[in-house]
Amino acid sequence: MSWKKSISKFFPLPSMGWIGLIALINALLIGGVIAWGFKDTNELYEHHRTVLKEQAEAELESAMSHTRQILENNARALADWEELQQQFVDPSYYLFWLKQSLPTSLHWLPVTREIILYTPDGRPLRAFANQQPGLLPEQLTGAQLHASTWLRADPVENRLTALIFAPVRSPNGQLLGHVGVAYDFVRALMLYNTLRLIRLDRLRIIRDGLHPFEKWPSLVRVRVEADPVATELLKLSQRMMAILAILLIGISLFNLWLFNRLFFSPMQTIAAQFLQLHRSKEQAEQNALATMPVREMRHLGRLLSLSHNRKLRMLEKLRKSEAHFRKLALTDLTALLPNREALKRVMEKRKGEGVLILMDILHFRALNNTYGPIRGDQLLREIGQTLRQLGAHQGFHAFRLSGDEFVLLLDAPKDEAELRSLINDLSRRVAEQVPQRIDLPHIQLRTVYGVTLLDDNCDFSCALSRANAALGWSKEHNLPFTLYSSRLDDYAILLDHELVEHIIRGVERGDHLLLYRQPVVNADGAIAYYELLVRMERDERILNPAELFKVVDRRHLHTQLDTTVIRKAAELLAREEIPAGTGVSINLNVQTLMAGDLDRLTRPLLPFLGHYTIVLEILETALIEEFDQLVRQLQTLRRHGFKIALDDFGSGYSSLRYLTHLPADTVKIDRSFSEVLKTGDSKEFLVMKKSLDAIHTAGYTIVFEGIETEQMYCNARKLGVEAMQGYYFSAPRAETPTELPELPPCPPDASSP
Amino acid sequence: MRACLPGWLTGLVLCLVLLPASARTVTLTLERNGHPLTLSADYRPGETGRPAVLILHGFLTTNRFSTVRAMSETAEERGLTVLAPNLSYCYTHRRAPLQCTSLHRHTLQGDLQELDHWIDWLKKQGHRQVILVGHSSGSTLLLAWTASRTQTPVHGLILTSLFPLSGGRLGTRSEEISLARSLLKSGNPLPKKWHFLYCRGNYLATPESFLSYVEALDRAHILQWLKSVSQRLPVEIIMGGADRRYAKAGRDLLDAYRQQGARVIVIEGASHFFDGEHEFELQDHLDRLLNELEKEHQ
Repeated sequence: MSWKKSISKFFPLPSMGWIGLIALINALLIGGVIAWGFKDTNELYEHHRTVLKEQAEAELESAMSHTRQILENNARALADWEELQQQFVDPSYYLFWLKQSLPTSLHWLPVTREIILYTPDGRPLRAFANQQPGLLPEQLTGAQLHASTWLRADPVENRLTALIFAPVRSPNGQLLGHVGVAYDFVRALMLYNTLRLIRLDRLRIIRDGLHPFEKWPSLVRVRVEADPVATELLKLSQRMMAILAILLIGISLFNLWLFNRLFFSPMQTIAAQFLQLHRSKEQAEQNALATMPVREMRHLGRLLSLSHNRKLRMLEKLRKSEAHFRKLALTDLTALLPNREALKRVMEKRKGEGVLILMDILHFRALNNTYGPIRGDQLLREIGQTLRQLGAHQGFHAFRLSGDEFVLLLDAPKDEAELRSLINDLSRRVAEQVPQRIDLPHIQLRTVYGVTLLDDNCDFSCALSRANAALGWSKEHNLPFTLYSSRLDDYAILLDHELVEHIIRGVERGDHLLLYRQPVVNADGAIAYYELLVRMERDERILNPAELFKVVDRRHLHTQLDTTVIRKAAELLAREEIPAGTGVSINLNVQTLMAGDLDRLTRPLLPFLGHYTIVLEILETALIEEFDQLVRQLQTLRRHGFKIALDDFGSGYSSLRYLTHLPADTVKIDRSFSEVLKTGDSKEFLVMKKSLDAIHTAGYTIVFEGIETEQMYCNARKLGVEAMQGYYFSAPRAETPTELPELPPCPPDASSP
Repeated sequence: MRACLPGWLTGLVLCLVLLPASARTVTLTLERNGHPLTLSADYRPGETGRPAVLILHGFLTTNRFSTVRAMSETAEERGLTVLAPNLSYCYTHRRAPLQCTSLHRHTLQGDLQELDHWIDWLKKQGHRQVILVGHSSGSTLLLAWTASRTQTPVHGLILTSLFPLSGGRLGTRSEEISLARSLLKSGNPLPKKWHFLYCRGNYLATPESFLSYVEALDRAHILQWLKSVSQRLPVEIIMGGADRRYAKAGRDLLDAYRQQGARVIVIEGASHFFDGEHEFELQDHLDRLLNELEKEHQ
């Protein structure tokens, strides 16, 4: 695998690398093709030369034979010539004939070099006086006495002489002698032959001496004349290939140059500009694109510049939007004060000591509901303005936390007297100025405060929990303000941030939220329906319901809780965990009744109305708030088929006046009256009986809560209630209790007629 | 005659076929300058009792020359014995023509002697009457021989293209003649190159040879010989009308011949060699003249 790593080092190649690689491949391909072409043409040419050489050898052999034939014929003609023969008869003018007559005769060929006549025994016909040795021998040998042809080779002078000896006979056959003729054989070859392949002017004699004619191949070396057509074709083809190679390489280089000019350089320019743009926060210039020859590249570059410029504009817009949204996210638009998130950020950044004051407007919800949300919002805005104004003087920052809660954050620590003075001043200003500003001068606007001192060990959640605890204490004890101290640990639930978050999640999502069931039993001992009681599980234990509802109250989670309970009750019914013929009762918070969308809220239960009795229990305390609206809501629920029960009747401020106008079906007597049931003949019992009779007279059925003993059960029956509920029958359980203890027969009512 | 042309052609073809079979070469061996010299001739025996015809070739040629062959065939066709010798020109058994540059040692006298031998040979063969037919210089030699000989069996001459061989107008140079005489007188026999007939300065001959011809074969001698012979024998001369030698010898030569008693026939348009269609005319005239001579003999 190492080779792959080695190769991967070089890939991907840079553009110039690709150009070089392509150029190299092109050069190799072109070079290969040209080399192959050269090799092939050379081989073809060599083959042609070999054939040519063979043909040349055959041509030379033929020429040699032909020339020999001509010369031998000439020698024989000489031997038969009468003038020559006459020299043997009368040699008196032999030399004269030899010198002057013979060379002018037709028998003297252009290639004849020398003629000598010999006697029959091989001696010269007449001695040559003072004559230098010629080409022909002075004395014929035995072989030369017979008709024969010889070659005399002279490599020094590059001369080849044919010596032909022929016998001379008279017409009657008498041997007169011999004639020897020397011929310039090379010239004869040229003269009597038309040679196509051999250049005789370049014939070389390579041996010397006198040799029989048949030995001629060893005497001469000739140069085979190259086929001019083939040679020219070879040169032409190789020239063409060379030109083609140059042309192809030129075209290739031109293409690479063109590619570089058209694409690579523009891409580099674009890349460089893009990099510059990437690093730059200024609008892009397009000057560098002006020299690009390819329109699409120039267009691409402009698009990049435009894209960059648009991106810059969008970023600017986003920055502005982000600042705006950040401001919106950190500002409460009703009170025009920094909100809870802003407070959290400030708290996270701050160091050292300080004071956090949590302010709550008492009965704000009632005011809001009474005078409408517009006035409520005006109230909050004016309080915010008051806090801003005062904060500017007193050196604190004001935040709106939620609903009717505000936070004042002081960077410097203050003692309790200073805090009291500040809070009094603030309370007074709010109480005096705000109602005037919202044109409700008659209302009494009261504020309560929870104060905690800040240090580095207490973060935002911690500080807010402590202030909440102090505020709760103030509310509960009707104090203007409370400075947090460890004595407020009773409000641990509100200080346990994780527990609070657990409860909030349970309320909003239904996690760990359980519906315990406690039966409501009819007077005859049958289960009428089950009241569903909200419980929450944490770490495998059930939380104290008081803690749960304290968080719900403090966090105003009533509607979310009711929504979740109704959804889970519908699931309970869907799973048929409630016995048929019975039903369920669900406690609804008055906040839900007043502000919630009841149609949407109760929609999960509607499918079960024909099969189960579904009772919606309302706390008596709800009656003090928006009674008319409450009546309309309850009427709507009743039309849907729900039963309405007035829960914990007798524990609050309700009166019979309300009861007579309330569209309810059942009144549940608060458990605080269960003490009355412990004795069946006390004065209180009699008053109770009369009161219940009045309720009965109004058309309500009565359910008595808190039945814990057999006596209470029997006494409740004496009061004529239709149903009872309490631990005597069953404690609230996670599973539906279907079996009741056997109810004893109660003694007859002595007071009854 | 023309009407008989097809018959002549048929006869000619037959002769060409039969001639090689009937002709034979005869030789005579002489001794000249101490060396044997063989003479050769074509001999075609004819009908016995009829004249023999001796036909002599022109200067340096042989009996194979076309004009000689044509005349031989004509005589042979007539059934006459034909002897066509080759002058040896001092070359034994000569069969080929000589060139100007060949070594010429022969002399006029030598030629005439060879004719003597051939006439004697014919006599020996039984031919009592001989008609001499010559062409060109052969005509001159036959004329010279006849003029110089008496008591010959010749009873008629037919001479074709008869011209003098020397003379100032014919290219013979007097200084060469003087030189040759001088050399001959000084005893220098070495050959030299002369101007003679158509050999322009390259006629390689000994002074003796050269002088023997140029001194004897001029116009005067020819007319003289013609006159003397014509008085004894019928002499028929056939000349080509377009022979270019008239340019040097003069066309008045024909009248001169006639004046010497010879009968001159001119074939118009014919060259010195009667080539082409004029060969037939030559043969016609020859045949006619041979017929006349044979009739005269009878």
